[in-house]
Amino acid sequence: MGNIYSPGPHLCPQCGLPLSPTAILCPRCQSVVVASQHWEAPLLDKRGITPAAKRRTGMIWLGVLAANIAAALMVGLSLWFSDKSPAAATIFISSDFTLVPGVMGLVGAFCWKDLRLSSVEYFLYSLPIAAVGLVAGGIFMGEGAICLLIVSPLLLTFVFLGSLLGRWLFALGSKTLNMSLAPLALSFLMVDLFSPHHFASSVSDTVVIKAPPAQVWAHLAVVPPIPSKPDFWLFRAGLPYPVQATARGVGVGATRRCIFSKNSIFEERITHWEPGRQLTFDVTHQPSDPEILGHARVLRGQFDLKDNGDGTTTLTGTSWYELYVYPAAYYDLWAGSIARQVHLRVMTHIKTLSESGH
Amino acid sequence: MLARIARTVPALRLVPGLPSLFDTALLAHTALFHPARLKALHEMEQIVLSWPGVTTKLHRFGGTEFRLGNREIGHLHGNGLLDIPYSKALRHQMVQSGHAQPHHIFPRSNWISFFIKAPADVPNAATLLRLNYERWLAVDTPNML
Repeated sequence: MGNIYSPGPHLCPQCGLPLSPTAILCPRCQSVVVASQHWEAPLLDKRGITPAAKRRTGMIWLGVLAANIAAALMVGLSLWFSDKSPAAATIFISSDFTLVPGVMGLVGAFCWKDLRLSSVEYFLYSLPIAAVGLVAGGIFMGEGAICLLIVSPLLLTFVFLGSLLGRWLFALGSKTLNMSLAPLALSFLMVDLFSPHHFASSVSDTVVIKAPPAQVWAHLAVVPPIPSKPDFWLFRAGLPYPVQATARGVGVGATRRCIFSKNSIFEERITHWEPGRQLTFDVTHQPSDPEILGHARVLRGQFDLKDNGDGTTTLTGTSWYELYVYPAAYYDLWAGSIARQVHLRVMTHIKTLSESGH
Repeated sequence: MLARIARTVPALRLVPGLPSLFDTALLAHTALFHPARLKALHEMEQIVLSWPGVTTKLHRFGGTEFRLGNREIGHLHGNGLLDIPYSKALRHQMVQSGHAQPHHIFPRSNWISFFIKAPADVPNAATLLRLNYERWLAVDTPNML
């Protein structure tokens, strides 16, 4: 990049003091020189095919490759230790989605440290790092498109932040500090791997129905087929959505099947049966496909009816679930949102049926 | 939006790492919906990085911080908001002349804000930052000017 200032005499317009070509604040009268008098837009790289440009492109892709090799090593280590840690055997720990991408960014930044990239470029070059990581996750870990879609913002964010952290650290040039990064990252990984993980949560939603509780109750255990197409974008993207519920028998101990699209079926056993008041069921079996369901387990569901005394009923649907993927603060946003959309689809259908007198 | 959230829940900026996460989301939003602004941010940073002695780091409240030695000369958020700490007189002069706005969160402080919306805003933004760069350059090396 060339000199960003135009050459030639440069005088303060207020007091006439000769200034250096780069000065824009007069040291005598403190007045500001108008930008247009001396400012020229800089000439930026046009990315011509020069040896320097080729080297730059090569280093960028080297960063992408090295970052993913580092990630593969860390995830491999994490999986190997998972076999030895009962706490982490069936879950994806926070480090897999925060520390590993952060290290990916750090490794990328190490390869890019001499390229004088802007933050915007760090962000843009974090995209291929994250994309390669996602594709590798899809191929080697069997994750589906929706899982990858959900994880992508988290992955990209931490790759980018790791790269910015790396840019700063590597500019400091402290070899001691840089060398301490690897054991520090491994220590965090080990602590996370061998720490106990448990996260359970619940989501409740309420709908007011213009029908008495008895009329609403008739549609709770057995939900007739829902004809409408889903509105929620994840359902439209391929995530199974509820279409019907069937039941065998009545009362406590009866079985219920909540049927989702793509023939995904949740088997349930009714644990509380109070006509016109409450229906509670435990989920005894849930489908293993799509793969997203392997990262969470629905424990229980409940419909609660409240007679409002004016011919209307307040229907509250609640789901309890466990997450096996961390950080829970992030994934619970998705799980809660999906559970809410399941509730609303079913409860809106119940409302329509009840209010139409079916 | 940044100002609204920061004003509504000011304690959020004290949560370690949260401002950086938030600023990354702003940058992603800029990349998706304002490509011209993204180009402007890139140009802005390239200009500032060409000034001798300027280094960058993650700003504690999110964004890219530009430093001259141990001093911050300003920081740039992912949505194009440039914040610069001036002297009181210089801040007054810049705001009075309309070259900059009072700081988006702390309007009574000596900080100013300038919103880079398009590449056309880059020269003015860089001039504002250059003012501070030269101010600290003059302090650290008085014979420069």
